[in-house]
Amino acid sequence: MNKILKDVIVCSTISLVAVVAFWSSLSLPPPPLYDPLGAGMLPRIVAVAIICLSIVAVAQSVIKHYLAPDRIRAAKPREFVLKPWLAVIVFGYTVLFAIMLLVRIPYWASSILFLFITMLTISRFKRSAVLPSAAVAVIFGSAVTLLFGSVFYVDLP
Amino acid sequence: MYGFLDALLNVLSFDTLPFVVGGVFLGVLFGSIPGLTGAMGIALLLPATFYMSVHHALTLLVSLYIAAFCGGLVTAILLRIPGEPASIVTTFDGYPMAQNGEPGRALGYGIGSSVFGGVFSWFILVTLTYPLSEIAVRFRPFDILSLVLMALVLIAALGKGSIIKGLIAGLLGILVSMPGVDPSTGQVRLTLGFHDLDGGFSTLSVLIGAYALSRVLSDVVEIERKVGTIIRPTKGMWIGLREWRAQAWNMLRSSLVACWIGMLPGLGSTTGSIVSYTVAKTTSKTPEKFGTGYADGIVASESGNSATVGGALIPLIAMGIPGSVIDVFLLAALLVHGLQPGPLLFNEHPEIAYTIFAAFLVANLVLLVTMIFGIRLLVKILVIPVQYLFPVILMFCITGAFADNNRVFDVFVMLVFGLGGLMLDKNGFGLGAFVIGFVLGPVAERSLRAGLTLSDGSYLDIFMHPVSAICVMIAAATFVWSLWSQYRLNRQTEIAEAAAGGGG
Repeated sequence: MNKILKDVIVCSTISLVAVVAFWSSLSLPPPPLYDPLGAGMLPRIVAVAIICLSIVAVAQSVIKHYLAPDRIRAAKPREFVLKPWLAVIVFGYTVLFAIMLLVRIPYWASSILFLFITMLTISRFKRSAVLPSAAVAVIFGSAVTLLFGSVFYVDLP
Repeated sequence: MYGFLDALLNVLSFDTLPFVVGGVFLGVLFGSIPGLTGAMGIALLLPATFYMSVHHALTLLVSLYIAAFCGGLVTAILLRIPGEPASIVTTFDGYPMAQNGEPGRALGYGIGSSVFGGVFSWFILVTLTYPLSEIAVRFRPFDILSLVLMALVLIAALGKGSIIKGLIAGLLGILVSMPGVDPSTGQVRLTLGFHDLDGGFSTLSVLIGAYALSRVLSDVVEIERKVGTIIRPTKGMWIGLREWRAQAWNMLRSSLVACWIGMLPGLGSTTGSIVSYTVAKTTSKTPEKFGTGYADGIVASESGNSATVGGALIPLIAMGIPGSVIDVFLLAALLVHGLQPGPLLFNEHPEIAYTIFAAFLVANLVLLVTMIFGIRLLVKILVIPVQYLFPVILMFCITGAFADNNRVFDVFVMLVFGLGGLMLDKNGFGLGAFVIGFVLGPVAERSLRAGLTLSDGSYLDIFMHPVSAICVMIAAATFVWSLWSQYRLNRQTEIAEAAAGGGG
């Protein structure tokens, strides 16, 4: 993806967070006598600073790119293939794991399932990985359930 | 003195020594396995330390911290992949020496100088921390504020990416630390109606998400990266006394330089090892040998990166300002156990400081023994398949975030900050600055508001006192220097490319 577009997206996302914080701070009461700033002033100052610096960052990116229009940046060829979709799928599995915790599915079951399916996915569903993944999932799922549940007394589902 | 001896006996007791050994073992593991770091290890272990006493927790975490840098040299030398970012300079000479048929000798130099750097910085740590804390007790709120700002600007300037992006990350960290109950007025703010946010974002969830989860996701994207063939050390790890004597001045100088760098908030071990290596090279009679498998290079780099550890602990214990990003996690550990790091820590809880000193020393000695006798086993462990490693780490991330407050909300917070951390890291926004901003944001806000209350709303008071004025000037100078350096680098690149294009 174009570097400028990446910077614009990231800076816009950060600025959006800053705008939301600024808007939320507007509903705070004015500062009391003993506190010159109050609860709302510093979030506003920081939010404005973030927005201003984000504009500067995007401008820097644009100027850097357009000041030398003839410069062609040849990307260094990678020695390996990137797998962004694999990371998206793995992240999806972690979200599902969190949802299973939310609906109080027993931790030992959800952790073993999460480990097994994630290991299998990263191994690209090779048949040779099924048994080792199952074994590692059962061992680690049970061990962590015992460790956090019985040793650390965490209230796992 | 008696306090330290008491703490030393406690650390050496059967009750606590297993935590040192366990911490060293885990630290070496996390530091050496490509894709894992000491910071990730500490982040993942933090939830487990809730259920330990503060002494055991600090012993475990400090041991892991120290051992991770030594673990990083193993892959740096045998695979040319730095296990820790600070070990990158070790690859310059360590890997060539291994390729020249002397992997054991390279490891021997690395391990010995790493332990020397650690012990040397321990000496500086125990000597300087108490006097510095006595000075820091007299700091005014604006002094503390300016120290925090200086730390933020320094880490933003020295991180990857431009200083503007680093400052954005730092300020974002400060903003994210604000939701919850305002400490001064008791007003609930920036929660957007979510009652789960009344206590703010969980420190643990943010740190685990930003550092551990984002790192794992990044590694999953690059899962096809070939790790390379490990050069196995078979012999020659023992270095003779004469050879160590020849390296004595190099080790001493590198440790001293790096220790001072470690004391400056925000700089960290990578800067320490780079500066130590650069000083060693520029002062050497044979600088052309550096980068070819030269022992001096390995010694300078490893004693440098280990010496920053003790240096970085000095501002953490004396002033509550983390000297590096990993120290942020130690600061979080102190907060989690109900302790307020800062100048009063020595007065109110001196046993905590002495425990850190004792654990630091004992961990270095245990590390030496572990590395000498455990290196062959460690080399075997380096080839753990990532398809089994990453899911286990993810499970620890989720369980650790949940264990903090027994709330699934914290798990979702961890997931969000994991994505956020990945986005920031991949686009040149320093994660280090973000984390420091998040942890020190409340300190900065409290100091600013207290300072303004004392000065009747005047900001000029910052410049009226030497400590705050000097820190602000250093921050401003660093900001300007960083912008100027970036501009010069861009100009040099343009000129070089124009010359190459004209010649073609």
